[in-house]
Amino acid sequence: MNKKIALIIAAVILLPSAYAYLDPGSGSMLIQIIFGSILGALFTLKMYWKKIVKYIKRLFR
Amino acid sequence: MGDNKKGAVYIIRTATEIMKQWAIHPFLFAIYPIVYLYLHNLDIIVDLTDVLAPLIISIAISAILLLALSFFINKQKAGLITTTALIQFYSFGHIYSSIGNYVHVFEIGFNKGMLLLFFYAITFILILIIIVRAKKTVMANTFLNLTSIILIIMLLSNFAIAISNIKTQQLPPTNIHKSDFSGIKPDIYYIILDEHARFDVLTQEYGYKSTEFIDYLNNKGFYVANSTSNYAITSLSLASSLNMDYLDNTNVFTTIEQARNNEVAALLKEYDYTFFHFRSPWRPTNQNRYADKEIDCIRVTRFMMLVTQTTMIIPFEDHFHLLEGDKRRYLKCVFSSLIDLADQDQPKFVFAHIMAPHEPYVYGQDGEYVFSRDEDDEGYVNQLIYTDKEIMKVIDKLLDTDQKPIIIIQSDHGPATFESMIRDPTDDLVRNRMKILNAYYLPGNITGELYETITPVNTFRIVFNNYFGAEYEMIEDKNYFSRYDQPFNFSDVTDKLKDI
Repeated sequence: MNKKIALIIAAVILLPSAYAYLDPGSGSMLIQIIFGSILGALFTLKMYWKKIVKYIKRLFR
Repeated sequence: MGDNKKGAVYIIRTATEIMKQWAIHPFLFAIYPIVYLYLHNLDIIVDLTDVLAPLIISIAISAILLLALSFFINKQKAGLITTTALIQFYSFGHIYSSIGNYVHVFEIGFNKGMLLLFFYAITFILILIIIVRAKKTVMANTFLNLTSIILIIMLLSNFAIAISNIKTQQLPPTNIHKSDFSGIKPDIYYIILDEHARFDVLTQEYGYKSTEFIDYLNNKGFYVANSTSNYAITSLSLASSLNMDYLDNTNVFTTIEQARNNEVAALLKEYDYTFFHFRSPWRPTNQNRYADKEIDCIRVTRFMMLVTQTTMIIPFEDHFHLLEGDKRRYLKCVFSSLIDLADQDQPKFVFAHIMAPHEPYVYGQDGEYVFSRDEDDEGYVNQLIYTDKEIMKVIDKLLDTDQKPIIIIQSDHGPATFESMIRDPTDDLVRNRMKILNAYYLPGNITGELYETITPVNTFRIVFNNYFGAEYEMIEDKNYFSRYDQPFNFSDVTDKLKDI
């Protein structure tokens, strides 16, 4: 499982490139940004977890 | 131990506080798209100097915007607006390039640039209102800080891997076999016309007979061979011809270094030649530190163009061609500089890799302004005719001297679209790509040494044998095709080329 995750991470980090032409690499950039955003969101959730739980509890009180 | 723990806690708290309160993301989002493009194309643009200008401009604009907004709203909100603007600015070109020229909404066709700009403007205004009205922005700020740091870490790991690849490639010293020679040393012009097709391909594929150019070359005393390229990709082709041998490595960085630190130039320098290198907008010939003198006609690098193509500038650039139009100035500069060089002190070895007739097509056949970034046949032929005309002017000047120079006009490979070069090759592709222009002016009536099917790998073997008393053996003329995405996965197409 860990190996699979490592492979996915490597595929995102290691960007493919064509040889002779300059390439904007839109597809791999998009994947990298989505991946980075998900990780960013998870870390943010972790930092604010207590506050978020408190806020949700207040909503349903 | 206790102090260490306290120290770690302090660092974590400080870092957390920075993530929450500071807006560092506008700077990182200003860096990310540029560095991403650099690393994505590291095979081609190794020179960091290409990247510095757009990077500095991007960071400076981000800082100015952040500072200006900070006068009106708090720093966090200013940061969020700046990052929104940066994301929009740098994502625009990616989306713009991936959709067709016209977008149909309710059966009405809209210009994609206008429509996308409108959509982006509406989105920006909405986000702006949300940010300005928001009571708390700390979570959004933290999210963007963390995301931008993660993205930069991804790029850094990519960079580290690339650097480790570069370091493992050590080029052996140039192997020079200098003969005892004290005769006349003619100037040598090695002119590469990027993607110039052979005359028969021009007729068959493009319906254009280049009789005027070929007749001109023959009348001037050139030997025009029925030649083929040894390789299908520029850097491989040049590394091979300039080292008079087939490639013995499978690494792009080594190949580029071989093309620069080449045996031909090193040998000629031993014979007291001055080595002139024409900078091209293209790796691997965009610079050469081994040259005695570099002729620089470049203002807008290919990397700068690439950055432009991914930003919000692209619809305006598509309309006005301010940056791509610089190629016109570049080509004029190259041709006039070649003419000017004729009067410089001898002996000299002049290497000019000219990005013509290669796209973008900026000149019509009579030098009129056109513009096309697409790899269309008409644009290609017209720029080829223009290039031939300019080269004829150059040759006229170079031959207008008492001591005639050696002139080699060669193409690195023939024409092919980018898309066709990342697929398995068809016979048509192999034929068009590998059949090249290869014309020699060798003063002193030694054209008898040349032969119909000579390939570039033997070009300078003949030159050194006939003018410098060297004793190179002619090596077998072979043709190795490879795709852009698998440059060292060679197919030997030597026999195939004889039949197609």
